[in-house]
Amino acid sequence: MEEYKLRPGARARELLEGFLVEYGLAPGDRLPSERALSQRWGLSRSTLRNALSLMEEDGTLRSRIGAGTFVAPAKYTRSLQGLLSMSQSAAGQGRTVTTRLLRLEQAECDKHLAKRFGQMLGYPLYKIVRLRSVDGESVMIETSYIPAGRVPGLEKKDLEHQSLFAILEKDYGVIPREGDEKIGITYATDEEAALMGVEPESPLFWIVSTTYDQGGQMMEYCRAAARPDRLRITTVMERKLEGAITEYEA
Amino acid sequence: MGPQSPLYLQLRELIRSKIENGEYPPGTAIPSVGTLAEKYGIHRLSVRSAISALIGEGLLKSVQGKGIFVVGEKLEQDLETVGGFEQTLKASAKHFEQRLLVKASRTAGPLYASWLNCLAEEPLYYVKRLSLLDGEPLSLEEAYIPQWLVPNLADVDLNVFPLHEVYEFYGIHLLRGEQSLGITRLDSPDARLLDVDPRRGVLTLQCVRYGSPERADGAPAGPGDEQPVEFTRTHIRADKCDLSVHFHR
Repeated sequence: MEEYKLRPGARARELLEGFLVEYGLAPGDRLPSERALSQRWGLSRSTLRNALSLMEEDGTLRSRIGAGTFVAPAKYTRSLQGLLSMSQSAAGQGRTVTTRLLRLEQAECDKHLAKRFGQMLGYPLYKIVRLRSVDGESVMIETSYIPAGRVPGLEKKDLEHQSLFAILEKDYGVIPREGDEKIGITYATDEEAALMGVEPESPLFWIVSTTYDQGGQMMEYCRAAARPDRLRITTVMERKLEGAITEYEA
Repeated sequence: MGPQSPLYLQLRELIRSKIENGEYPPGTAIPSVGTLAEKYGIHRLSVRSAISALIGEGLLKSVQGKGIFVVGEKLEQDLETVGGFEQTLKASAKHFEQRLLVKASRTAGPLYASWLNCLAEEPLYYVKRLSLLDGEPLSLEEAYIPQWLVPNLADVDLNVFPLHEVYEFYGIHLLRGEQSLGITRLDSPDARLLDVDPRRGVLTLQCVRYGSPERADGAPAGPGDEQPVEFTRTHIRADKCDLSVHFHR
C-alpha cells in the first residue's frame, strides 16, 4: 500500500498542531521563532508562515508584532445538547459572560416570523438584540424573538445582568424544555463587523434556534451570528436505533 | 444597516427579505442584474456584488445561461447520530455517492497519536473521500484509522462498503462520537475538489468515534474496552447543507 505524502501546506499545519499537543503548550505560551520551526521541519518560511496565519485565523494562535506567536486563549465551547444558558455554560468553563443590550423593541410577525411561530401576521413579539462577550471578547450577536403576550413588561427587566432564560423562568414561569438548532455560515455585515471587531464579509457561524417551553409552545426564535475563532460548537453522538436516523430535510 | 449603508449591502438585505417573505419563492429566478440595476438605479457591479454574497450563503444559485435562482431549504445534517454524515445522507432521498480519492498508509505522528490515543509510530490508514449529492460536491472527508483495528482495509473496496460497515466486519461496534465544529478555509486543491471559492469558509467537523473491538478470546466486549476507532475531519459546503441538532432537558 502506498505511503501517503502530505502537501507541504497540510504538513506544516499538522506539524504545528502536533507540536502544540506534544509539548503541551497552553494559552499564552510562545511558539519558537519561525526560523527555528522552519529549520526544525525543513519547511520553507513561506509555507510555515501561511500555516501560522491560517491557525491565527481559526483562533488557535495569536501573533503580536515584534513579540512572536502565542497560543490563543481556549475558545468558549458550547455544547448544542442540553439547555444551559450561555452564562451557565461559560461559568462551568471558568469564564464570564457580559451582555450588551443593543435593542429591545416591540415587533410584529412578518410573513417569515409568522410562519416560524405558527401565528398570523402582526402577532406581537419582543425583539431583543444582544452582543455577548466572553471574558471581555465579543463572541456573538443574538437576535431573539419572544411572544409579547408571554412576557408583559419585559422592557423593564435588566437584560444586561441577568440571563434572558432566567428572567423567563423566574418572572414569567416560562421554562425551556426542548428545541432545535441549525448551523450554517453567514458573512459579516458592516454592522456585525463593527460590533464584533472583525473584517466585514468575514465568515461567521449562523445559528438559528427554536425553543419550546414546558407546554410545548414556542417560546423563542433566535438567530445568532458568532465568531468561529472564539466559539467552538460541540456535540456528542450516540448510537441510534436502526430506522431512527432519517432526520433530514431536503 | 441603514440609509447610510453601502447600496450593495442594502440591496443584499432587500433580496434576502424578499426570499424570506416568499416574494421570491424557491426554485424561481429573481429579476436579472440589469432589471435590478435599473429598478433601484444602482450600478450593475453593486447588484452583482449583492447577489454573489447571497450565492455564497447558499440562498441563491447561478445557473449558466438561465439566470439567478432562489434555492429551497438546504439539506439538513443531523449531528447526533454516530453513523454520522454518511448514514444520514444515505437515508436522504437524493442521489448520494462517494468518490474515493486516497487510501494510503501513514504513521500517526504526534497530532493523530493524541486524537487516537496511540503511539506516534503507530501505522494508520488515511482515507480521503469526496461526497456528492445529485452529482454536486457536498463534503470532503479525511479519516485516520489505526491499521491493527482493520488489518485488511487495504483490500476492501471502499466504493462498495462504507467505512462503518467495514468496522462491523471486524467486530467493531461504534458506540459514541465526540465532535466539534469550526469554520475553516481550504487550500486551493481541496477547494477545487469541493468546488468552492478558497477565500470563503467551509464548515469543518472534527470527530473522534469510539467503539469496542471484539476480544481475542471471543468474549463480548465491555464498556472498558472502548477505544478510539477513527478520527475524521469533514469539510462541508455551507451553501449546500445546514447542520442540525435537537436539544432537550
